[in-house]
Amino acid sequence: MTPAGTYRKYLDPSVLSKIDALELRARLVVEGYITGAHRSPYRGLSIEFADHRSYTPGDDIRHIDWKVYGRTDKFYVKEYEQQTNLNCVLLVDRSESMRLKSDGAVMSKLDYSACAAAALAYLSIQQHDAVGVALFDAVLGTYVKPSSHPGHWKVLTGELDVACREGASGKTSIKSVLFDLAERLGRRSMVVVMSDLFDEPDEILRGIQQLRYHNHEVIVCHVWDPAELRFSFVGPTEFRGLEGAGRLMTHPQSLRSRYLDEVEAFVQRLRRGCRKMQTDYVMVDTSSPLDVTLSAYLSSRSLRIRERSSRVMGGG
Amino acid sequence: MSSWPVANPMMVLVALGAMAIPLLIHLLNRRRYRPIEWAAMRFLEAAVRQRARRMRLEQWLLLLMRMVVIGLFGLALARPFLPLSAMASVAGARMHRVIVLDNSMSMSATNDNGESRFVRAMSVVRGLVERAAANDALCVLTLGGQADAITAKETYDRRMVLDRLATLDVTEAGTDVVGGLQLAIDVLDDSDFVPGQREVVVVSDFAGTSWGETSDDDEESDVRRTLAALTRQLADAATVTLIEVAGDDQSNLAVAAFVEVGSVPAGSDVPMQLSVTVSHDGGVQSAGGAVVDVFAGDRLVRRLMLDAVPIGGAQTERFALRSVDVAGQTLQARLRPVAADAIVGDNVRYLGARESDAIRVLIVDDQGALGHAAGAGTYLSAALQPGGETTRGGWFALTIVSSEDLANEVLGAYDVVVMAHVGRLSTEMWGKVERYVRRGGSLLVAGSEFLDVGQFADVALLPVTMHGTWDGDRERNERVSFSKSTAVHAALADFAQHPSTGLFSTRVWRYLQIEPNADADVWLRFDDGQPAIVSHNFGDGAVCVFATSLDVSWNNLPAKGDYVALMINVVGHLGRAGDGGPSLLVGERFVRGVTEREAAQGARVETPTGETVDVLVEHDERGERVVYGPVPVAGSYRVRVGDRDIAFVANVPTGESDVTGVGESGLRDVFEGPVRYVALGDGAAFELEPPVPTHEMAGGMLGLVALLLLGETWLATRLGASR
Repeated sequence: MTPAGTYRKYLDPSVLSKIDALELRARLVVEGYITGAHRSPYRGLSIEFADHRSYTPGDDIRHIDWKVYGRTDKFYVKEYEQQTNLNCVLLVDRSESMRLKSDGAVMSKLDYSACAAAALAYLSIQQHDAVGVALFDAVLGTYVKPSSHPGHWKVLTGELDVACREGASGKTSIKSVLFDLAERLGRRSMVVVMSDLFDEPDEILRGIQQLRYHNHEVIVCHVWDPAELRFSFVGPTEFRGLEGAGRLMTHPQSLRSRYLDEVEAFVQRLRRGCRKMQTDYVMVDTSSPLDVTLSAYLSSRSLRIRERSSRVMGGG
Repeated sequence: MSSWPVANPMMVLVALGAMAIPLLIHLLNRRRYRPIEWAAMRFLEAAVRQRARRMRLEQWLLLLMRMVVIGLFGLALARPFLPLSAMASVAGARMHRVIVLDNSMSMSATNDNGESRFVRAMSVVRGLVERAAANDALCVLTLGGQADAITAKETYDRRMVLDRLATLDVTEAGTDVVGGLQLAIDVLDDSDFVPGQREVVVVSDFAGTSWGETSDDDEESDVRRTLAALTRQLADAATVTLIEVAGDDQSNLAVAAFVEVGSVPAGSDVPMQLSVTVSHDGGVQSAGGAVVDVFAGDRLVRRLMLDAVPIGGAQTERFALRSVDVAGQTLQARLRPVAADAIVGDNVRYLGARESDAIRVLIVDDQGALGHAAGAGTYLSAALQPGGETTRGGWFALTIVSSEDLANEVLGAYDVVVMAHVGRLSTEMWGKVERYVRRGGSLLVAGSEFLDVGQFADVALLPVTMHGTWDGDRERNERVSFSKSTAVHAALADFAQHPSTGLFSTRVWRYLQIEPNADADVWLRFDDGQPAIVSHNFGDGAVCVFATSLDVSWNNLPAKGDYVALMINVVGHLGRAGDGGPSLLVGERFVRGVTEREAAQGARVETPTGETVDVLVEHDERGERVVYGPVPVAGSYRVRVGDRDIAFVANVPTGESDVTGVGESGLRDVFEGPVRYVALGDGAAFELEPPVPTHEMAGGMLGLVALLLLGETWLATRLGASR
């Protein structure tokens, strides 16, 4: 087996950016992450995390967990391994603003998101979870339904690869996209949103709310270019806005603190809103290793499963 | 004084122009904005919305500060001053007035009414002194000859100043402008008054030659640079007022030069060639020609009739006198008085003629001492003393010794020492020769077979550095000759006028390769460009190097008739260089080396006015020296030292004959900083408003600039703007 330290380097965007094929990038990320983790996600996730859910008419009574019934006086159905697997949709923003790749970054926000999405898809399929991909800008564009078939990963990476090669374009309109997605998703799913979220916070939160309303788990990966987070420009600069945002000539140093305040306020707003809706909010810097995204996804997944499990066990 | 309240009005315009620089940079900076694609415009726009007004304000403030900094800096360089007239009238401000009075010879120029410039200047100075307030400090300096103070640096005793002025007269000396201005600066440096309460008043005719106008470009730039530096210091230290008393245009004829052309042994029958030049300065053409009488002592020996001399031009007349007729006498070229001649003092020039004593020559010849019948010394003695006698009236008195015997010789007894054929000398002997030259002796070193080039190359006394010898290839008949076009030295003037003479057909197949020192004078070169005869002054004496031999071993010169004339001229010139009556300018010092025995007997000077004055004998590293001066008047002087009489003449400086003033614009070019200029025409009454005490603001402005720079730096850092 490849030593952990060697694989770990493949989580670094500067290394990944040198690898052209998205498939290979994703595999390296996952292998690197798993090899680096103390506990392998292959072991236990699908076996130990058996879940319970409330009995609904039509469920096979053979699956009722009678021990739980004895403790709680409620019927809970024991979900088998296949049934507990997640239905995951990776929602990737391909609007023009995702094209940004500053001097300090090695990948554009879109490339980074696509790579992270491919890695998550690979990981999910390895765990027998069904995974799909949706690409959006102002509207929901390409949508590949979730599937856990091993060959499905190739389809997903193919779509992501095409999106990367075509490049980002169009404006962002998250609310309508999330509404649309909520309608399309049939069964309860985990939706991983990968976007720079340059839209009105209220609209974004309303869209997330809609997904939550449909009982979907949502993980928001807020993708940032390092320059957007640090804003360490020096000298007179002309900022040419993407998505038709106009131009601005200024001395960025004089605006830095005010700009960072604005960013902070925006992030706090989204973070609070997400927390209220029990939605994970993860800040992702495209210069940081991809395991941040993977960890966020996996910890969120396991947490949800544990919560549900404890609710059942605790009679909640 | 300038109508602007600044010392340098041009700098104000420059400062105003420079204020546009930050604006231009600001506008140019707009073109060098770095374009960046940006996604998070919403945050940027929000930040800008909140700070836009303030940022714009700060940017303009920054721009304004930068413009003000540059503008103020430029204004400070323009050296503005604040008139304190109100304060002056209330407080009755005191003044320290330094009066610089020109009493040089040009100030003796008189107008048609017979009133001299000096008289007008004196009346101005008296007026200034008499009108000075009781608490005004005064100091009077003079510029004639060597600048001097006739009062203390700060005196309040007007009566004493007036008494001193009464004893002052115009001199025959030049104008010591540099010394006078430096002295004024020194006086002001010690002054307790603040710069706004100091005034320097220069009362002069501001004759062009003395105040920055020279004919030589290099000299002009040097003089101008020095004057610029001094006047700048002066303007920093005080208000400067220039009162010009030249009056209307005047005409002045002068004997500008009276010299001997070529070199003839004193007391000989050979005619000595003399030249008289009469110049005409000033702005008025005088009618008729000029008549110059030449006197030997009191005896009229020649009358020269010259054509009318044009304005700004000169006429030169050459004539000959038998040396024996005028030996030991002072010659005078005296211009007959003409009607419109502003200065009388420059109508005569003096020329000292040598005594009829033979030039005493010591020939050092090791070859002759070894018994060679036709050595270099033999050839030289034959040339210098064709009759083989040493009698009174002869040209040269010769002594031939070997270098070993040189130690026994008292070199001070000779006018010239010739190393005709010397291989090397001991260090002690070189020291003896050097002391001899320093005290006024002359040395001639000739090339010879045994000459140790390595040793001679290290002798600092020589005017050249020796590198070796050049040998022509005899088989290929490789020869050089003396170059006609390079025979420019006065001692070779006879040859230069006769280019077909035998000297220039001399064949030289061997010579010393010599490189003249920076101070050396090349008399003659070979036709391959290498120096043949080179000299320089060393101490009070002179040293000459003759690159080829004095005998026939390296050339065929002794076989030419010109050998005699050349040796007489070269040795004769050197003999005169050391002991001939020097010609000084009035105001200069007479300095002459003497032996210890002579020094012990003391020295006295007989002046042209018939006075006899005891003079100092100084002792320094050069030895004993008679020092007399500054020489007060033009004329013939005789110094009696020991058993020896040394005659010299003093003439007036020719520059003082130029009566044309430099004018207001010329003075403003010379004087850096603000000056008040007052031209006092003929018969004009003198009225001079006292200067208003002023306060210089440049220092305060520079302080403000420093503060603004700090503020600008702080603001720029705060704004993060590039600088």
